[in-house]
Amino acid sequence: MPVIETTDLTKRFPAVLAVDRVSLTVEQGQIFGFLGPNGSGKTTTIGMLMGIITPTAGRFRLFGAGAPRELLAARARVGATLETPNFYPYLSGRDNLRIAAAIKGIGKARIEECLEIVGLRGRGRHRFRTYSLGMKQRLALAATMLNDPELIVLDEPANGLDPKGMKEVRDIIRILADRGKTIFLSSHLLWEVERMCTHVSIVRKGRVVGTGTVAEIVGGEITAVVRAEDGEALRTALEAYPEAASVRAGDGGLVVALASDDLAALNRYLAGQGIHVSHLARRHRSLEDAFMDLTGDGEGEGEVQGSMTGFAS
Amino acid sequence: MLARIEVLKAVKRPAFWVTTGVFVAFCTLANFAPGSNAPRPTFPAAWQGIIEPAINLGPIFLAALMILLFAPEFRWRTARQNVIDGLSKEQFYWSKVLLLAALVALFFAVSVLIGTLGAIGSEGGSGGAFVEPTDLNYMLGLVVALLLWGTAGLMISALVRAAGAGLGLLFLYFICEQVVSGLLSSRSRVLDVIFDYLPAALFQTITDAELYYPVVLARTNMARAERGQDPLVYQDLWILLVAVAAYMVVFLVLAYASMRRRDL
Ligand SMILES: Nc1ncnc2c1ncn2[C@@H]1O[C@H](COP(=O)(O)OP(=O)(O)OP(=O)(O)O)[C@@H](O)[C@H]1O
Ligand SMILES: [Mg+2]
Repeated sequence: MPVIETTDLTKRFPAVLAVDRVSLTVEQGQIFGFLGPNGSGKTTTIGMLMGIITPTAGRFRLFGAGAPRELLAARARVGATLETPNFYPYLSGRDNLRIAAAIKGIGKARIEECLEIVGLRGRGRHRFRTYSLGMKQRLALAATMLNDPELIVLDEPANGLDPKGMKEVRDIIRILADRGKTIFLSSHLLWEVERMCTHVSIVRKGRVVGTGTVAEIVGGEITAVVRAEDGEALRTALEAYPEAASVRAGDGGLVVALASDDLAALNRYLAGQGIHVSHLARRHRSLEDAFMDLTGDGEGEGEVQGSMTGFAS
Repeated sequence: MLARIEVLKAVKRPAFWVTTGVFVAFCTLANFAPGSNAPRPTFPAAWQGIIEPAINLGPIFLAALMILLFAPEFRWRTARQNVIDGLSKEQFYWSKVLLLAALVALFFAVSVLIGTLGAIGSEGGSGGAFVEPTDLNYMLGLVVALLLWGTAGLMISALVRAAGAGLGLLFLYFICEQVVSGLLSSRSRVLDVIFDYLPAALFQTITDAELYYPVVLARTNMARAERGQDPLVYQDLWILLVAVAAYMVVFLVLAYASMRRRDL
């Protein structure tokens, strides 16, 4: 049974179609990255799962529960924060957790435990209003962990954290994942997601444009960066090269996806075409490359939608 | 659990203590103010003087407090977080109804307590009952007036979702109703009846001591007759109470519908 399952989930605001027939499946134990540019509908999608936004159309299930009453019970197994940390500014961090704990039916000892985990024990009695952004994020993380949830939903958890804070968040997420928790996180910090997530889904303007394991999304192919004096001739030659899967501009030259790892063969081929290469280097295709391919404007939107084949072939 | 979270939210909120404190200060002033040399009335006659300041000021303070405690939960997005943490939107609504009930009880208790303390020092009882039925009606009037304004505050919070705008709207409405009905009064009988049953007018009627105490009504009407004015005539108390109850139901239902329908 999937932990999260959405079917054609849709939300239309008066001015925009924020989420457009999103279908996702998140299985137990996955660290699921939900990626997309600003305004692509990530927060809105999570909001619908959490019951604060009413979907315009479509359905979803949490732990198999779909009916309102069942969902309320299912949400007791979830810990989530949305967008910015939302707390009472005049209450201390600890009192804020007390309210969340009262709602979740959690005891006092657990509050201290969670404050400890996120390193806020010493500042627990200070008002939320006086916290730095990083501390607010940590408090939010502490709040999501209170009920020892099976599913943790985080909306841009690294937002506003310094590199050390990000590493700490990453470590906490890893620990939770190792204990079999399912983690669903939205982000646009792609390298963060690439290091952490097992699965990703990429959304663009409310539509899912790619879903799969990180490896599937990134694709197994080899990428090379090539530069030469005569860019036009280079492009023509590369496009005619049988081993080249795709050619696009980037990194100060042309980025070519190759079917084989043999850069020497490419070099020989170009020399044979009379092109003098000034730079030729192998590069690993990153999640960022895939993200840009999938969410970039214009080129090949139709091909890419709903499948991973658009850029892999 | 709903009660517990509302207590946690309220007791550390400065606005709660400031508003309640100012109300307590007014009640204290009204009941202990030195000045008149007349002997303080004893019970049961003291009740009227105890309820009168509370019924005129309490409801307004209560509505303001209700808005201050409820509306910011939308801007802080804590209403949203409460739901994410596990409340249903309906439960969140009921927690605010609970808060309202608690505030009404608090305001009622505070005003009666302060008033009683003020009257206790006066000369020994004149015999008869401690509370007359008319006093009980007046107390009922106080509770109903508190509830009317409290539910109005609840509804405004749920609809407007901002404390400043909500408070502004509340007072603006109160003033507008009086200006409009003042300008258009005595044009037609039907209109006058309607104006009498608009929320602000109704509130003022049910807070009049004349409605509850025939003696006070007689005194007022005697004074009016001397000035050549028509005597005041009041509807039966129960008719007014039914009208108020109808408003409260409408306010509560609108707030509920808004909480249920709208995204947080
Ligand atoms: N309450 C609302 N009313 C109207 N439009 C909204 C509302 N909330 C979101 N939107 C719109 O819906 C779209 C998706 O917004 P959403 O916040 O879900 O994006 P996001 O992917 O979370 O973006 P970001 O990365 O910037 O957080 C945007 O165009 C936004 O303007
Ligand atoms: Mg967002």
